[in-house]
Amino acid sequence: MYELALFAISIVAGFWGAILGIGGGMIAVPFLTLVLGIDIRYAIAASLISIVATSSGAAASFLRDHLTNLRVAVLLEIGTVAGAISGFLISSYVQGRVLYFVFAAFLLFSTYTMLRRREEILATTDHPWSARLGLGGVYPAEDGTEHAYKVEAVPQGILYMYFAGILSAMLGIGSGALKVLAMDGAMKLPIKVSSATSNFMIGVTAAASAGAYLVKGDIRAEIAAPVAVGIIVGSWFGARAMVKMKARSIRVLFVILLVVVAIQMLVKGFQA
Amino acid sequence: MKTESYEVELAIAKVLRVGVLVAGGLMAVGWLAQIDFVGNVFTRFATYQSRPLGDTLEALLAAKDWARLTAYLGLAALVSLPILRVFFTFIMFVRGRERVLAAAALFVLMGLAVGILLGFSH
Repeated sequence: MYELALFAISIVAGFWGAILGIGGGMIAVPFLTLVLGIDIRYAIAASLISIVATSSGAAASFLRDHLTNLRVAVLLEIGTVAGAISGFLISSYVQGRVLYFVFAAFLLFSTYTMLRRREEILATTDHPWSARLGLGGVYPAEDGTEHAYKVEAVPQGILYMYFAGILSAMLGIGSGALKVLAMDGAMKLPIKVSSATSNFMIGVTAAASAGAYLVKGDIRAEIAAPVAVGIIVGSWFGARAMVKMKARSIRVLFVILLVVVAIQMLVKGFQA
Repeated sequence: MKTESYEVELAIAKVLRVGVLVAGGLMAVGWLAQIDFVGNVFTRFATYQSRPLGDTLEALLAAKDWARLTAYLGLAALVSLPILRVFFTFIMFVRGRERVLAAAALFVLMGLAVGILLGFSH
């Protein structure tokens, strides 16, 4: 029964993870620790698998639908991979309780940043690196037409990705929220492109750490298998739903999710 | 150039779809073959105990626990998908003679290799 419950919640996590570009870890980690009572180190390791699953499950659809910006993703992944390795190296020296508070602070910061922006503000000019590397693109809007977009603040985006990578390795999350915020806020990409590109990137970020944790033995098949299978199923449906959703709806859902999980993590941190 | 890139992206998408199905199928088979409908298998994970993957696989092989071994095979396949994804992206940029992005993809591949090697050393 507990395994089926984990499978069911993973489907939900995969569905919303694909839509919001945040990976299943943000939902999976609280469920694994708060409901199932699993040690957070196993939960973090399992959630890295869930992030790879979310990313892989939705990436094919987003690539086909022309939402994922592969060039931006590869460039920003320089920062995330470097950060993920750094995070893995320091994670063994940080206590579990500290991880809960770091996670909660990160989520609340993300909420604040998101609430400050009420409307979608798109880039009007390309950063010189973006112009040189052809990072801009086109994406399908809700009305079915294709809209062109540009890319700003590329160096800042890479720096944000470094910190996102550290958080990914330390907290077992894909840091998709920070990636979406960096692309949406700093680089001024459309929210759907940010979400889809983030979805693509979180899998790579997580794989760098997941491979290490798998070899180390922290990823246990009993936990990770039902999570990953559920996530794959959910993300497949989520990727299809996201294309048809309005950008504003995605933003509202994103903010609500951040607040709920932040509160849960704070509670767990005080209880630890 | 961009049209060719899009064709390659579609090819990558197809490879990903097949890979996800294979990895997901292996994990599903491995998990469902040993699912416990009554008890709570997660109680043993309430306290952390360090145990390298090699030791776990040795024990599973000795016990002929094919279900869990299949699940671990699926996990390994799943973790390899992002690596494959970056590799194909690297090939795409090399073919398109986009050196900066090809170098970025190569750096990411090396970073992934380092990340996994760190697991061997810890």
